[in-house]
Amino acid sequence: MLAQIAWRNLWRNKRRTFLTALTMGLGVAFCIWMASYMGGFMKVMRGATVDRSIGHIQVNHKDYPETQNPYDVVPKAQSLIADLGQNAKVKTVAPRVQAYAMFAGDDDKAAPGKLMGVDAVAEAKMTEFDQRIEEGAWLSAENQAVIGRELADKTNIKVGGKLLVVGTALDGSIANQIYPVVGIYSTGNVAMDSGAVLPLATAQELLVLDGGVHEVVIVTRDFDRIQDTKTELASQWSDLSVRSWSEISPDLVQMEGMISATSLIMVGIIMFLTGFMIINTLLMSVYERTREFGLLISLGLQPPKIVQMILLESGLLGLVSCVVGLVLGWFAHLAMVYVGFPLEVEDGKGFVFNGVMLDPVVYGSLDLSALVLPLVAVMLTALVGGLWPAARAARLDPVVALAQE
Amino acid sequence: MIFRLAFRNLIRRPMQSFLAAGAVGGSLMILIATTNFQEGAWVNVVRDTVRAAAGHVVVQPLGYQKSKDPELLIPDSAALAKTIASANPGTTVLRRIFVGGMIASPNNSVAVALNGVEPEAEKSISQIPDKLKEGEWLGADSDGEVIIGVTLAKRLQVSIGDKVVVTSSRKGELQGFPFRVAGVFEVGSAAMDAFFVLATLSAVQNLIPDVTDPATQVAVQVPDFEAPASLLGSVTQVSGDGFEVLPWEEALPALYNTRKLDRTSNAVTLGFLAILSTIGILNVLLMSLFQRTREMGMLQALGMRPSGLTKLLLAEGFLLGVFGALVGLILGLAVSFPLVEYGFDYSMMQDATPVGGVALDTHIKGIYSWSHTIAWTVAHLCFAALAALWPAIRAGRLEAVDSLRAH
Repeated sequence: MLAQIAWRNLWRNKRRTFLTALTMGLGVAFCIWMASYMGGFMKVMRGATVDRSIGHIQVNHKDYPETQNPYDVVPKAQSLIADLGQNAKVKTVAPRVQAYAMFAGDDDKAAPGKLMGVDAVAEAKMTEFDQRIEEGAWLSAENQAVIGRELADKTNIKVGGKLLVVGTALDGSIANQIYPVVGIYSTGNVAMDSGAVLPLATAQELLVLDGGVHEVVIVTRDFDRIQDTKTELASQWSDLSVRSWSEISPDLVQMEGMISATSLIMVGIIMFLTGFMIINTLLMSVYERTREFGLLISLGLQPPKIVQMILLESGLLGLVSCVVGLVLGWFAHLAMVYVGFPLEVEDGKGFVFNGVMLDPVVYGSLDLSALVLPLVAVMLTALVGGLWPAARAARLDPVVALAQE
Repeated sequence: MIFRLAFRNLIRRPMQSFLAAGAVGGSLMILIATTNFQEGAWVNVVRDTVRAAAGHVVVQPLGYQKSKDPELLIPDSAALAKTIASANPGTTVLRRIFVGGMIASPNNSVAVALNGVEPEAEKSISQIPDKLKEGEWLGADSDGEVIIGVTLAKRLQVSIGDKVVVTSSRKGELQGFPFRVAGVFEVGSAAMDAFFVLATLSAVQNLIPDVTDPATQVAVQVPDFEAPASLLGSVTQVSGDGFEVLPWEEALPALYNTRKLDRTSNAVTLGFLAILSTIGILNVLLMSLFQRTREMGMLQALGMRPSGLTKLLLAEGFLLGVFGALVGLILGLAVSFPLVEYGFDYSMMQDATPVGGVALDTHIKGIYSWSHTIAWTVAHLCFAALAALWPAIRAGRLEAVDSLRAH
């Protein structure tokens, strides 16, 4: 009954209610748009670092993360991998060998970079590395190589050409081999794209690793529960280093922290500004109805009921704003998904941000949990904004109020 | 006269006027403070990065910017640097040489970026000499020494005085050179602490015996934050053909584009806030127009023309805008003051962020960016006037007879 009156009161002045709801709705829509934009940005960053490079969890020799000493291979890697393959929480697991080496082609141009040895089948399953091949093909046999786009540009090596790898083998000798290049990949991760990838056994042979691997990379089934899975694995393999992607790449976590702090501040600012409007709207509507309130009070409506009614009005206004905001925000999100936001760079290419090559356009990606904050904030602003006008109306003296023109 | 009427109309409803002006003022305050802080942060970033990684203007071998090919070199670089310095008094001219290579200890070998620098000149510019954890900065007789990052030192398992071998390639030949670790720095950027190696210019030149006095870059720096527009032309002229002469914006595209991206997204966000406050003003003016319909009819009956009513409403909007903008300007500068004077230290929250190869300071101070402050203030005045337009036009269309009947 009271809610019905409040709802009717709200629409007595359609234009005002609409403008207020539109402003607050625009605020919500903007927060949604921003969440979509930031979400899309983080997706690119995370895709290039976590999905295409680090994986979810890495297992190393306990000294390896700090020293990256090539002698620190994962002990009993075979049984570890077999064991992880049985683990229900693990989706895929793949071993890797890494080292740094000088790379050169026929052109007398050499460049240093990262050399990786991977299990071609397991790696393709895990990081979809085979999908990153831009030219040529993914590794299909021993003694061949795929190289990154940046390395290819620096050394002028083409698909079908030869790659000379010079590095240090574990027995102290110079590792020196030539492999045919079967493909060129581009992952967006600058460090990886400046290096080369060999089949696991080939890399082990080159570096005289005797079957050793430096890291075992795991992708879990549930991204949100990585920390739990990591803790479980760490207690199971307590003599090894077990790290989640957030420990391996803390800058990415920091960036996500910065982004959520920014959105929190944004929501705060928008609510602060729209708070002015909602107070204004409700105050005005209380002023206009002074006589009416006087009448209601003299007819026996208790002041708490009046407070309730006005808070209902402001709450309903908040709800209408939420609906308007959701509708507008959804369109903004769709625009982000289909049109995207340009990361202006002149030559039609993206630029390098924190080691990741950005695409020229970033597309939206919305996590539905991002909707909660602005919607809750709007409702809170509406209710808090309604308090003052409500208190004013409740304190009216019916005699004075009725006397007013 | 119109303004006096408008002013009285506003103070007749102090609460409404205050709230509308508050929306303008609040939004302007936020815009000014945010922009001043952001611009201050960028000033620091740009200054540090331009100093350490390039110069206000850099001279490079033709095509180097695109290919980053370390085989492209400027021969007789000292002569070129001297020519540039004497043509541009007051500038600092530095030479640097960038070589990619492997650095190896008995324990490990890592791919690194080897930078040859002039120790004395670089010391006055770069942040690394101040961030040495152990050892000493390079001197004139340091040709056998390198400075490495703390992460790299861990990976190589070396400390001060230990030997490392730097391998680089020249015309397809690989050659190794022994160096001694003279210093270990920590700038807080993962990439720099792991992959950045410094040696003297002459030591790195020794790796390239077939070019006389080579350098990859001749960097021209001015003491001020911004170089005069004439610097680029002047350096281009004296350098002659065969080089590319670039301003820092082109030499450090990652930095420039990150700043551009940051500025674009800020402008979008802040512009949106301005729009919100504009709708706020529009709402207030529309409401006050409808509340005063009768009054408007009275004014018309007393002989005021419709255009007079339009002007009256426009004047009210303008006054609201001016008042709000004034409040916003004062508050904005008041909030900016501690940000500019004391700055904000976010080292508790996160490590130094590397941008374009330089780790940023975690203590950020704002600056008074007057151009932005003025632009935002003017924009708010315009928005307020714009918001008044619709109610003003409506007021001009009122019929006195109908208006007088309204209550």
